[in-house]
Amino acid sequence: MTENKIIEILMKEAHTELSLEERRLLDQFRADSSENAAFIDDNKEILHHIPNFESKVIEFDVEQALSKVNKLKGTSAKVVTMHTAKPTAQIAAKKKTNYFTWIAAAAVILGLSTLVYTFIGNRPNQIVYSTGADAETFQLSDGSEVMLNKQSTLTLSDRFGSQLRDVSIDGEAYFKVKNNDDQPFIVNANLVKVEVIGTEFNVKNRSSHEAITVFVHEGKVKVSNTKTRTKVLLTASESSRFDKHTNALAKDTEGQINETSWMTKKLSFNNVTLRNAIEDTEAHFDIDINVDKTSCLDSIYTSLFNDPNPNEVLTTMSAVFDFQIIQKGEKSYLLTGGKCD
Amino acid sequence: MPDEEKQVDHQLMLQIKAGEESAYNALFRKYYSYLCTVVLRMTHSKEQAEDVVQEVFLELWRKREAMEIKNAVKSYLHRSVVNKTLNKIRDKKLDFDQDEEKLDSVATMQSSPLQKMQGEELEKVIKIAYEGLPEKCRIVFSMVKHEAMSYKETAEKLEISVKTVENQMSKALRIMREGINKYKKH
Repeated sequence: MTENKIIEILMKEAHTELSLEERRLLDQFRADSSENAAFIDDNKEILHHIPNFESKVIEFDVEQALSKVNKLKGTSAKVVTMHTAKPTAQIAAKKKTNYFTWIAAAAVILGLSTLVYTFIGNRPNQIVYSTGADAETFQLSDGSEVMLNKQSTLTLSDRFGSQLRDVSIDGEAYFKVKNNDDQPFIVNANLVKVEVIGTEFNVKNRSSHEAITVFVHEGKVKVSNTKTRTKVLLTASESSRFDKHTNALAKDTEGQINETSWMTKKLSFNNVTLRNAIEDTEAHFDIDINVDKTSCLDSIYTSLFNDPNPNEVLTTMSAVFDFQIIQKGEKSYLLTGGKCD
Repeated sequence: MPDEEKQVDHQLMLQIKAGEESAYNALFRKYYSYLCTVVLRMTHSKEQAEDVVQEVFLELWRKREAMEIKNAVKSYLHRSVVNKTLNKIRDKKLDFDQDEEKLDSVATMQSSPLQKMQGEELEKVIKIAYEGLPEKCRIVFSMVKHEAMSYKETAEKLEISVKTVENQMSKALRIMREGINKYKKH
């Protein structure tokens, strides 16, 4: 049933970027009838207004709860309740947790919990960093820094730092790699492998995107397609694009200056087509912008923004091309009219 | 969440690992109510919410020496209470495909007179409609909406089919839409 699918897309839209296919489905459904459009708008309105928490204020007796827990935590009898937690990104280590569960059971029998845990704590474990709604910066044990964009996961291999520097990324991250000639730093992004000595670069590997992109800010990196073994060498300000459909990896000649805008908070359009500027703006704010007069899209545009909001960018564009801005939804805009000779 | 805040929590965690009870108490006081409300978004039971959060804190103490929290301590606690709540929901073996009656929230809403609904008023009506969702609807809806899980993930966690998740989601939104429409007509 289409409406079920539409609701799924709307729910997804609230947390992450939609794929082109999903966006197309949504647009098409909306265009089909005015009932459909109302269906989308009504549901969006509801989702937008759902409270994060209960509206009635509930009071908890924190002190009473704490004293109860404090009484219990001294006894070892209740360790049995420890059937926790599938490994979540935060605590890390599938391997470790599985082992953990098993040992926990043994510990109950033997009553040796503390000893056993200490021992486990010393085992090599896989470290997983993940972000939710906000980007975060992490320092890795080799001194490299990783700024992890929202909704992204970085996994370090078991032996990161001792024998190799090997990580994998799902989502998007900017890496500042600590120089180490003996140990190349390797980022795995599905079929794409990025090898570096010491440099700064951005890797975007989102399941909702059609390509895996690498942008080098400084230094040199080698990007390879692990399947076809094609390689591309990138230096400062260059980028590569791996097409997930064709499995083709190539240097990307188009300007990628805004590739790291999620981190620098700067949007820069220097003599680019309006089409490019709009694509970058859409990606930066995770919004949808449509232009009525498509002939305008090839006009050249220049502008620089420092930590802007969508309105500022759209207003400036509209002042240049004489557009009118119509906000169609929470994250969707239409630019109508326009003079662009 | 500000960085200093995270630093404070990490400091607390280090002390907890070293067996400092005062640090443990501080962390408990800081997040207990917040975590209870997280669980309450999914279930209606205040007692169950408190039980879950207390269990998570107990485990935190018992596992403290092996614990490696790389991200924010708050996110870790959040994720732990959600997972534990899901375990409990699974243990209850609710039949998500079976229909249940919705609560009488819609009727309550009609008693508040207003011709035109906007802003705050709308927010209030949606809140009431949301809180009146039947249990299974609410569980599924809160996982997708508040915990940002995909349909597939939600289905896996609850051990139900994706189709069932779809149906419960559509139902949740339908109930809320109907509630609002009734209110608008009133």
